Amino acid sequence: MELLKKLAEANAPSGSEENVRKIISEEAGKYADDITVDTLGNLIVRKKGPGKRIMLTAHMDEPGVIATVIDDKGFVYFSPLGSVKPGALHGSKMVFLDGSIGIAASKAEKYEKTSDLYIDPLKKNTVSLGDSAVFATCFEVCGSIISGKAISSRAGCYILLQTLKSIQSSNNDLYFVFTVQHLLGSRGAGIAASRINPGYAISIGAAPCDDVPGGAKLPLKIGEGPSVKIMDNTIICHPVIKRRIIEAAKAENIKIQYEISEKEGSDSGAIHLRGAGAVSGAISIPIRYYNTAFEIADLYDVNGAAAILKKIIAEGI
Amino acid sequence: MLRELIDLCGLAGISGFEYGISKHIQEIFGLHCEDTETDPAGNVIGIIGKGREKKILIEAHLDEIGLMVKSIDQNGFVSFVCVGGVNASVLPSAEVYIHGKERIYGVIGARPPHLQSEEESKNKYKIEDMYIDTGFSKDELEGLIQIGDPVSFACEPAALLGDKLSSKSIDNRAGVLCLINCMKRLKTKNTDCEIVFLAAVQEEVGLRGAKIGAYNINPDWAIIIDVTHAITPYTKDGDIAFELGSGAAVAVGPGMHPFITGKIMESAKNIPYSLEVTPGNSGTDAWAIQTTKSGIGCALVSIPLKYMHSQVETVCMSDINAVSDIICYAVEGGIC
Repeated sequence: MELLKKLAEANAPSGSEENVRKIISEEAGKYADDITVDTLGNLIVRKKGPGKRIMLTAHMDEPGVIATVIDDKGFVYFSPLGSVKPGALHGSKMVFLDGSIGIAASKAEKYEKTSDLYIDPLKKNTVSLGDSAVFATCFEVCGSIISGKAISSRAGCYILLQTLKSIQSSNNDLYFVFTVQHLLGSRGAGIAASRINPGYAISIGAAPCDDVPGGAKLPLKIGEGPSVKIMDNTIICHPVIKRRIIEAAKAENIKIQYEISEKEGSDSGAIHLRGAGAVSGAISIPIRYYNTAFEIADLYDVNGAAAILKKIIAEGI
Repeated sequence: MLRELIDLCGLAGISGFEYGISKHIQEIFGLHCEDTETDPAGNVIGIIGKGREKKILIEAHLDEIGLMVKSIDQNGFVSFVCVGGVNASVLPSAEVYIHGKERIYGVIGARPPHLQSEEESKNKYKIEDMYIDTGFSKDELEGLIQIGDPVSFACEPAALLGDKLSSKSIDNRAGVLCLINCMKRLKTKNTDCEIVFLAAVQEEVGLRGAKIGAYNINPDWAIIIDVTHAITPYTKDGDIAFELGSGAAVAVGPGMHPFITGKIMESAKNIPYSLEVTPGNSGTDAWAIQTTKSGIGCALVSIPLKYMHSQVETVCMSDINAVSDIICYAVEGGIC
């Protein structure tokens, strides 16, 4: 839990993932046969084996904003990095990568455009054009419920690390890839797939879930198990991967849900059409208040996904 | 240099139909490079320092926005589709060339104000309601032009006061001119890397040529040259735009690699430049090149341009110099 907290509290907007990459490198170091960082900053951790080349991914980047205009009074105007909704920003405490704090606010009645908002830095004249900021939220645990920023990305990193640590020796050639720029269209996952050229790929991501009063009628609920991705905006998942996830969940006696995300893209989507193609699929953690300062998830789903992935890796695809 | 830009802008090469201009550009590249090539997409490539260990790509797209013949009606009026992001508001009264069997001059007319109802006068023109008038009837056009023929703007480039040029297709012939400026200067320098110049096709229809070009060249680093918006009475607060004459705009954001971008800024010396914040897709070839193969670190240096995607795009020559210089300084200083 300390590791998940540490990961979730690290600040890493799309394009500036080094804080998370550093934590993961340190954690993965003694379990890896080889660690590389590629041109865009993907962290590629290899566990060698004689068999199939399997790529496992989780993204490191979280929703953020980037300073575009700083006015003469020191107020910072910004654009979103990835799909951060203006409504999720108003009233949030934000932290820039140098650690300086600001409050995102707006005088508009409705926050429809990012340009309706500004950041009021507590200390003026420390922010430069192009500096990026993320939500400044502490990680909280209450029973099996976890809450904080960036859980939709760091839960996946955590699951990959747990899986890596569980492997004694691998029959397959495993690449654990911690990707960059997922929120800008899974750009990191795509180039990593070009480098690795995997036969199989499983991505650990997150699925928005709206199991709240007045929520849309999405079937996902937190605490009802991790979800096997059926399809999203960028992929229709390969039946082999779906079947293996469902079988592994059954064997481990873990409840499972089915995810169809019409609007979201995924690393699995970016991977499956690269080069000559890969058999690709994904497991997603249901997340309430997705891409906000206060995402909520259930540890049952997180630990369940880790158990499923361990099982698949131990038995092979 | 003004003469060179006028010549480049005078050439017609809309996306997908660049063969006329690409031949011309390859000839110019041939004057300054050790070797030139083209690829199946029509990209033009020039190489300096072949065989050096590391490789840097300097890229600008050579295509321009334009129109394409969609159909010819009974009276010879030619309807069209857009190729690239054409601004429908600037089409009425445009002069064009249809590149058919021959080059045919035509004009895009408009409904006279006398005939417009009050409501009509408030409405914007739509592409599907506009026609090119060549003067010929349908029968006379038979065999001269056909569906699918490219259409380019016909206006003449004209110098404005104060070292400025107004023309069609300064987006991105100004970038191509920067490539030429850079190769002229870098050919005599013994830099630490092979320098590959790429004038890419089909940027305006989705960054297509650059993707193929970068794949084949597979450089260690890439510097992309394009245009960005200049401040005019039409820009608003919050628009990312730069004063004409203020120098280069160096992009920062997740699409740009901090190492090469940093090198450019460090080696700028006294060259004026501004920061351009690009939160995601810059809309330039840099976005496509960055994720080519296993990832290519990109920098984007832009020339401020007024009235982008119109027949009167306007640029300041000193900005073209600033962009060329800032890139040369970085490459001369050693990037790889």
